[in-house]
Amino acid sequence: MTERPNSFALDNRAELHGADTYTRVFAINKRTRTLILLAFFCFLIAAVMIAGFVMDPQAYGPNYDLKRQMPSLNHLFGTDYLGRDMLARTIKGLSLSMTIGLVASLVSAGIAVVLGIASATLGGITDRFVNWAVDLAMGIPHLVLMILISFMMGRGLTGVVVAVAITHWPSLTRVIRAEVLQLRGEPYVKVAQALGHGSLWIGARHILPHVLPQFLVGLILLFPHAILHEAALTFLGFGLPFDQPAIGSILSEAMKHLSTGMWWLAFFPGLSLLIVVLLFKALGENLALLTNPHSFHT
Amino acid sequence: MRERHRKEGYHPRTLAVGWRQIAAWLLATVLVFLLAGCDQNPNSTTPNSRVSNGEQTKKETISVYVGDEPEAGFDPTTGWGMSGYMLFQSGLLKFDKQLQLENDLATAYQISADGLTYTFTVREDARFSDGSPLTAEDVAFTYETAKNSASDLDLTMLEAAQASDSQTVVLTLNKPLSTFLSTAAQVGIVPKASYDPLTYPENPLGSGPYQLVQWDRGQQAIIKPNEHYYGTPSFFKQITLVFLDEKTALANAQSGALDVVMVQPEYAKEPVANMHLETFDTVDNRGFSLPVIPPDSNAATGAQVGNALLSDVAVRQALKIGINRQTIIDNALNGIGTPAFTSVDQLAWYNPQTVYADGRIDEARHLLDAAGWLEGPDGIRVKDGVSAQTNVFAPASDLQRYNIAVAFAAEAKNLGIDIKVEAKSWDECYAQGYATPILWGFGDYNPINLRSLYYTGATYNFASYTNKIVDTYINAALQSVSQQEALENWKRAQWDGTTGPESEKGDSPFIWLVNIDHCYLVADGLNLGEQPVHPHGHGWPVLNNLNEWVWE
Repeated sequence: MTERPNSFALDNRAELHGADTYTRVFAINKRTRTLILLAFFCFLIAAVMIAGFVMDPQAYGPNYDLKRQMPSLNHLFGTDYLGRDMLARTIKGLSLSMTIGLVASLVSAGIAVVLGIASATLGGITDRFVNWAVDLAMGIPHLVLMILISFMMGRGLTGVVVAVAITHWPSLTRVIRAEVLQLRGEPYVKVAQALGHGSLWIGARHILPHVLPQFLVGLILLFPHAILHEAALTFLGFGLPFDQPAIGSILSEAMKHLSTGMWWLAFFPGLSLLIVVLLFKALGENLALLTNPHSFHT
Repeated sequence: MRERHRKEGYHPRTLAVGWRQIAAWLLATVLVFLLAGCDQNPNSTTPNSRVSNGEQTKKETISVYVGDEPEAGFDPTTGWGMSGYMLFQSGLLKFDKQLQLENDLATAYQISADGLTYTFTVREDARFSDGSPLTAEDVAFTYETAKNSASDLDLTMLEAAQASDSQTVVLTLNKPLSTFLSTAAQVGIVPKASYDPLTYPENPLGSGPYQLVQWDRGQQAIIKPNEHYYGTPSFFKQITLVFLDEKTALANAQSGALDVVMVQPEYAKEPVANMHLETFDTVDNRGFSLPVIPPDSNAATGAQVGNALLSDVAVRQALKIGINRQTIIDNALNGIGTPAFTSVDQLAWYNPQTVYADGRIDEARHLLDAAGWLEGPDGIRVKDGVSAQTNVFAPASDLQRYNIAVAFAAEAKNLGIDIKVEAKSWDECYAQGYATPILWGFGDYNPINLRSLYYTGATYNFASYTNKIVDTYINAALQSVSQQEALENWKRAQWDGTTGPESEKGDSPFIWLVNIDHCYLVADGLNLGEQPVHPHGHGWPVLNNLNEWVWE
């Protein structure tokens, strides 16, 4: 545990010594493979987000000459009842949803870190209050709470962002609190205290570096939650208005047309949402592998 | 049974298969055949289902889906029946198929020369559905109650309502108001003896063609004919109104469980076995308010008012003649709609001189060129540094309106006008509507609508429109004692040949786009009678003449 956990400067001596030339040249060890995957996921996600932002509104607007087209080479995801290209709408929608997810999970993770560390270090009344708040927030059905908040904030973009942002912190708060509590009992922290280092120094040099991986993984794993909940809110009509083609509004519009046989309206956007969520989950898990010092040496 | 079966059949000491098992297998086989037989005979499904041939089509119960239930219940004193369909009650007057007023509960009426006193004679054979007679006392009571209820039903013009004898009621107004006769067709009469504002909405008692048997909120309402009704008796002995969501209703129609189903334009072309589509003309219009004043801020509220682009009358007129309404209907409404040129198309007070040809792109472009709006490099016109660009609002709760607005924007683009559609909540629409066009929907059986749109400072005059001559016509129409005179003035208020809000040369504070046809899937053989032009609000208006529906 003396090594900095997020240092990537680990080599794998066993493989270097024991392998023949072929594997030495072409074999990629697990860490490198994970890194490549990580880079690829990041690239995919960034590509969708940027594509959505720079897209000309015309691209996902109606083209009345091309209504109700099945998926084809020109329109990979087909077009809807107004002739809107579903691929462009899906990308725009995912990009919107991911932006909301990013803001929301950053805010939520921020709240979690502050509350988690405060709870673990200050103890006493603060600790009890934070635990009570976590229990309270977890006790109310998540979606209902979000609908209430979104409705209160007047729906729309603000409503969704606020609702998703301030409802996703409880579980990460618990994780961070537990982590910090455990760290405070570690020998090297005790030693540092005995050596006369101040709590700020200990916090910066010993606690934060160890909490950081948990925080990052937690942050990334909040992402798919936030996206799904944004989509759910919009799907239920408490989220974004029609002029913002978020993935939730695309799906809820598509549901109306399932009975007329236009399956592609719901299928492809739904699949894309699923893939993005899985990508984020894989991203978080890979990051956890990379930042956990134990995972590559067992 | 299963337990015993298992014990006998699988117990190791049982040597032979018991007779009970054989009997059970036989029974099962017979059942399977029976069920298979049922499948081949579509006429013997659930008792509720529609059947397509033979005598059974004359069944005396039907099930219909006409949208959601009225949340507030069926109380005419708080607005039930305002749109012309009452079912359980009847009013002093009613609209005929051409939307002219005719007597209903009243057998005659006189209006005093000053237009302030209306004397109605109530018919003698009118009875509530419990058999008790309906008298002038009940009429006076209803109007007094409705006046004090402060609901959507506007009776602020009523000074007093008094029964002078059992068949005569005198209604006094505080100002002459010719539209009071339309109001008399919008107020259903409730019984003075048993009316209780708390229970009445769920247990309505009236003199209309039907009475409510049972109302399960969120599920269904069952109604049956009022045997004391003085008008055309209902052919059907029981009608079930089901409350579902649209998709479920359509699925129910496809499975044959419903006889009349309201459908949205996007599903109107779905084929459904044994049902056909009927579309009815409406005055359920959609149109934008076009702010006519230049940008400014409201001195009192600080809110932005006026619109740089639309304050030029040439732009408003160019939009009116340049867009193609039929294209908007085809694109946004699946072709289900009729081009609209006023807010009152086809009603008795409609002025047909307001109609003009649209889709005249070249003419519209000339008009804009002449007004100084010249085409810029990106195709969007510019005048004195002002770009021909504006946002428009579509209410966020209505996807159909958003689609109409987007289709309208595509038409405006052909003229070099850039329109961006935003979906906004009604609160935001009202707050910013004096600067930004809103896509409205109106259409009821009362000419007072013209006043609320075009009179200086009126409720829905979001265009900030002022025209002294129009105000004069509206005042004259309201103060007319004869209906004929009132109608003439309403027509002049739209367009008198030289000025007015409507017509292609008019001041154009609103641009009307479409009257959305109301679509219903109707069981083959069911005749819905002659339907009047439907008002705003798809669904319930089709029940207006429920007592005239028959199987053919």
